Amino acid sequence: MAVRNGCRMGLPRQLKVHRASQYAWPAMHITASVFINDNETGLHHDYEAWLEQLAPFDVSSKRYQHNRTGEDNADAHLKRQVMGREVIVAITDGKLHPGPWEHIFYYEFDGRRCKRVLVKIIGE
Amino acid sequence: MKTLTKEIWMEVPKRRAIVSLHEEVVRLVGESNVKDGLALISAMHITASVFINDNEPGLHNDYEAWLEKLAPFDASAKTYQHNRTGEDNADAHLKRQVMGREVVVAITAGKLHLGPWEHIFYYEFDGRRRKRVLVKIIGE
Repeated sequence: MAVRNGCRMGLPRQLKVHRASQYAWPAMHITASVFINDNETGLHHDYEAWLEQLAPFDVSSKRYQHNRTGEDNADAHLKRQVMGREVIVAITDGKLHPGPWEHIFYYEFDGRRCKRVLVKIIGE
Repeated sequence: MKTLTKEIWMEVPKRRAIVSLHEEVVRLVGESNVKDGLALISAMHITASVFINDNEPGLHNDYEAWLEKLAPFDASAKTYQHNRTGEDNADAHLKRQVMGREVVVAITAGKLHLGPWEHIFYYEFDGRRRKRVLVKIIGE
């Protein structure tokens, strides 16, 4: 991940999956989100601007007590709560059962280090 | 494993409204015959939410006012780049993120295993057209 924030890691819409089940994709780090919304770059820009307004980046501990720990990512912990941690998508007849415009994204709020997303698929 | 899959279609006549899904989900859990499992209830459209909270109209008005403050409706492309596409619903994509896409509810002894005041709702942020909610129930 080369940038601090950004909808840069769109994950594949479909995977080989089991017949009738559900699967969950949680972000395994607490300064990132997995979410479902439109694959439209203008909207991704709107998310960036909106989240920065709701929880501005500020490395100092004047605004965020969390940054007293020496970290600088309190804003990322807040932004991730707005966008969510995981999505759960139904699988029907061996395929994801999404709506017409649903697209699965990872949202990094504190990148420049190696992080993971977990995919868990259950069913028959 | 038993499964039940149901798409619930609806057309909310206003741009925004909260609609209870609760009784329909209770009915589908009964129809599924699942005694121990999970129910996924998700909005299939990206300008709507499924959420669980209080069935109290004052709170619903509070959500309306709060969400409008967080992500105001503005059809122009001045506030939202998404509206450059010709759409006018960027605010709806933002509001939906605050309220969430889906809920997952446990099923125990053949019934939804909910807290005392939990109630399942659909929140429409860009209505006046036909949209769907997916209910997927799995378990034994």
